[in-house]
Amino acid sequence: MTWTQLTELIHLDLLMRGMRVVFVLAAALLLLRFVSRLLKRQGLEGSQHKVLFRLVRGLVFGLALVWILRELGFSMGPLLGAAGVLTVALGFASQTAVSNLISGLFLIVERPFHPGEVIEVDSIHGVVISVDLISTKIRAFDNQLIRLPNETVLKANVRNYTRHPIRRIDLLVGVDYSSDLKRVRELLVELVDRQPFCLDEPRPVVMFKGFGESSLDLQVSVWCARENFLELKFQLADTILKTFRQEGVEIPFPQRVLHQAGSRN
Amino acid sequence: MLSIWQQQEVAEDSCFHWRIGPLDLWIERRRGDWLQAWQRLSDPLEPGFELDVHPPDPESVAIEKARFGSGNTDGGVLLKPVLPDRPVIVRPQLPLSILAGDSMRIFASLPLWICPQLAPSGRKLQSLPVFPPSDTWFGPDTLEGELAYASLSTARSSIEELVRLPHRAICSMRITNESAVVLPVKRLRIPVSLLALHMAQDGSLLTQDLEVLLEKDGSTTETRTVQTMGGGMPLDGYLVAEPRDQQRERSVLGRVVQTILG
Repeated sequence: MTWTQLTELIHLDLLMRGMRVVFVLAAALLLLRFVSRLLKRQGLEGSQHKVLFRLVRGLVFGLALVWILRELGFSMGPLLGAAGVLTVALGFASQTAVSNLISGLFLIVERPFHPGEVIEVDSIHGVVISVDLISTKIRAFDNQLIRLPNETVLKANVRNYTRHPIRRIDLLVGVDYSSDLKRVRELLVELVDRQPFCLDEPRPVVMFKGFGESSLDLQVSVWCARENFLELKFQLADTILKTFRQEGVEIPFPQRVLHQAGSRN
Repeated sequence: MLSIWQQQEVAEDSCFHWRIGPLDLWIERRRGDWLQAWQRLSDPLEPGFELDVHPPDPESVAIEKARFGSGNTDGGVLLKPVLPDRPVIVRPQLPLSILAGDSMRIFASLPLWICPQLAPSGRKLQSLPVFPPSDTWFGPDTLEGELAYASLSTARSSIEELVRLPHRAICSMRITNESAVVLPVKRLRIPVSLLALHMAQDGSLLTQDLEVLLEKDGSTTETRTVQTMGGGMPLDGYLVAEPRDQQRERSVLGRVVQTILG
């Protein structure tokens, strides 16, 4: 083989390797674009999309880099060994971060809440701003920013107040022991029927809760569209008070009856 | 009754008044804007209708207002009746059942919305219900379903028995029970977004007729609109409003009638 032929062979080999590298990079970019569209089609937007996409992108580019280095003639053995040691060291140092990261992935996949929904996590109320890599951001009602580690959120009992279009209002009402319970129930049913925000179905319910210390306890349960929840709760309370006053139904204050020792009365 | 829906010319700095059932509507044309005001009576079945030119009572606190800026306030005002923006759930006042292998035609009246439009531009002011119907939920449970409007109905079997009101549209449904058992009909979901609104010669407003087939378990096999109105009258009445939703709802062929057995 002449020098020229050898040179040509080397150039051809380099050209082929270069083309394979370019092809792998192009394939990686196409794959990432496909993954991004797939995530959007699954309904993942905003921060959830960003988090998952970044993880996938890191993985794809990492694999592509390893393949390219091998293709360019680097030995991967020592590199992978060093990476393994580094991973163990980093793993011990970042247990909490990794736990939060994995919890974040579970939250993104399970989707117990979306950005914009009102939730309660361990007595913390607020609107979800974003579910990020290691934490969930909530805006409290007084506009404070609350950062919750994803591990905390995953372990906690989470209430989502705005997931479903309708909600039930349960209003406790106590009336005096001398009240006519049947008449009180009729009054409550009538006034609930007149409430414009109260849903026709599911039907409102007035139920007896028990013989309280100072009053007969009733519960008025009505359903409404979630956006009318606060307004209906207020209107209901206001109407009940006015109606009871008009009809002479008393809502008693806490009472105690005292008996004097030795007295016959 | 027809004159309510006709175009009215409103002079500048003057106010036109419509009374349509329980709704009092004023539209005032001013230089540079339009003022829309309205209030309602307490009786949703109030039958009256009138037209005149007078402004609202400035002392009244029950009047709501909306203002619309416009560089050009030429022209008149046309009131267009439209069907509600959500399905209407009709509940028969008396328990209703369809005998096995039999069918029944019922007529129900539906609430209407009023959409004031400026003529000739066609620009719309604020659309509002003549009398806001009650909200309700229609679905198998509180997680699955949709918000709708509730209507308690006498479910008349003859259109002549129905009280004609200018602010209510009449919808006719033929319900056929194809099963071998008597099926109770507790609630009827009327997909109003798919219905067009027509005006008959006497001025009454009618939707297209509906055909509903009931299977044994109470679900519908098929629901379709037919090209008649008022229980079989040809659709040659004046078309007042196209369906709000021109595309088929995904679930409209699913459940129109919810029957709860036993």
